[in-house]
Amino acid sequence: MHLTLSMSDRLQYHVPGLFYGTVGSSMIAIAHLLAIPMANAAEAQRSTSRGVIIVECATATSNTQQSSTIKVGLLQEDVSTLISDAAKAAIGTTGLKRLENFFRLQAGWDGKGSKPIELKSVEVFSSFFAETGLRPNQLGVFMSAQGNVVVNWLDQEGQLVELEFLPSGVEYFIAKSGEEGTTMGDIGFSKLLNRLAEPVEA
Amino acid sequence: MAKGDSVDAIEEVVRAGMYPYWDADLQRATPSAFTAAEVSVSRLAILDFAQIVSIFKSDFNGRVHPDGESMKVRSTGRATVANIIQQAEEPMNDKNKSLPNVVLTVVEDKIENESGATDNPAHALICGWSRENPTQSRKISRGVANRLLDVFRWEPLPD
Repeated sequence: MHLTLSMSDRLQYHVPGLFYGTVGSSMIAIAHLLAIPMANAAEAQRSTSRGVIIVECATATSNTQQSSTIKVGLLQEDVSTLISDAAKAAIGTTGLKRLENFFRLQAGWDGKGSKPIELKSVEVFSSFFAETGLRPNQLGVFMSAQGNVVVNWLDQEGQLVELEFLPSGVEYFIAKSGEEGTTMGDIGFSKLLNRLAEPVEA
Repeated sequence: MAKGDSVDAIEEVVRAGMYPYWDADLQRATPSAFTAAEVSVSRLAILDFAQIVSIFKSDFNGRVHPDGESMKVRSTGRATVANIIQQAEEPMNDKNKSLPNVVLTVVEDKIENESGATDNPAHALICGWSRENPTQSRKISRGVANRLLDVFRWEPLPD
C-alpha cells in the first residue's frame, strides 16, 4: 500500500513545549534519587523548546478504518518527526522502530474495542520525556488496546514500573509499592517524577 | 451456552501475545495486555490449540499493514478461569490489605458473522466490574493486570 497525502488533505499544527519551566531543575535531583540516567539538561531544554511537530489528518482521531489508513500514511513522512529528541533517546532505535510499527495497526487488532494508535498519546509521551529527561535503562515500548503508548522498565529490585500515556495525562503503576493512579496536565509530570522517586517502606 | 454466560471455573483459556504487548528484544511484556474492561480469550474446551492459534493469526496478522512482517502473533498464554478470577480476590499488597476495586468474570462471547472478524465459537471475554457496583463495567486495574500477566504462562509460537 502506498499513500500520498496532499497538503489539502491534512491539518498541520505545532504543539509547543507545554510545560516550560514547570519541572526544570528538580529533575536532576530526582534522577539522582532514582538512580536513573538522565539526558543532559541542555539537550532536554532544546527538545522542549523545539516543541513537537504533529502532522495529523483532521479525521485521524476517530476510531475508523479510514483513520488507521491515514495514520499508516504518516509512515511515508517519517514517524520520528512526531517524537521529541529526548523521547527518541529514551527509547532508542529499537523502541523507535516498534513505535513506528504501531502506526501500522488497524482498528480491531485486539478485538472489537481495540483502536489504532492515538496521536495525542504520542504527543504526551513525547512531551513527558522532553520535560523530564527521564532515561531508564532498557525501556520497553508497548501499545495498549486503547491505542495509547505504554513504556515500562524494571527498578533496581527488578520490579516493574509502567506508564501509559493517555491523551490528557499519564497512568502509572509501581509494582514495588502496588501503587497506581493517573496524573493529569502539566503539574502531573513533576508529581509523577516525585512519586517515582519516593522510597517504599519495607 | 449463550453469550454472556459464565465459563466454567475449571476451563482453560488462551490469550494471544500480540506484538504491541510483547517486546521480544527485552523479553518483557506489558500488563496493558489485560487492562481493558473486556479482554479477548479463547476456550480450549471448544476448539483445540491449533485451531485457536489459526484464528489469532487470521485476525491479528490480517490487520497489520503489508510491510509489518515482523509483527505477527509470536506467543500465547494459558490460564484457568478460576485462576484468572482469583487474581482480583487477593489483597492489593502486603501493606494494603484491601481488595482491588475490580471484580473479574469470564463469559462466553462467541464470534459469528461479525464484520471484519474471523468466526470464533471459542471466543470469551475476561470482564472487569466495579467491586462497589458489580453491574458497572470497569477497566481492569494495572495491579491486577500485572498478576494476570504472570498467571498466563506465555510460550513462544513456532514460526
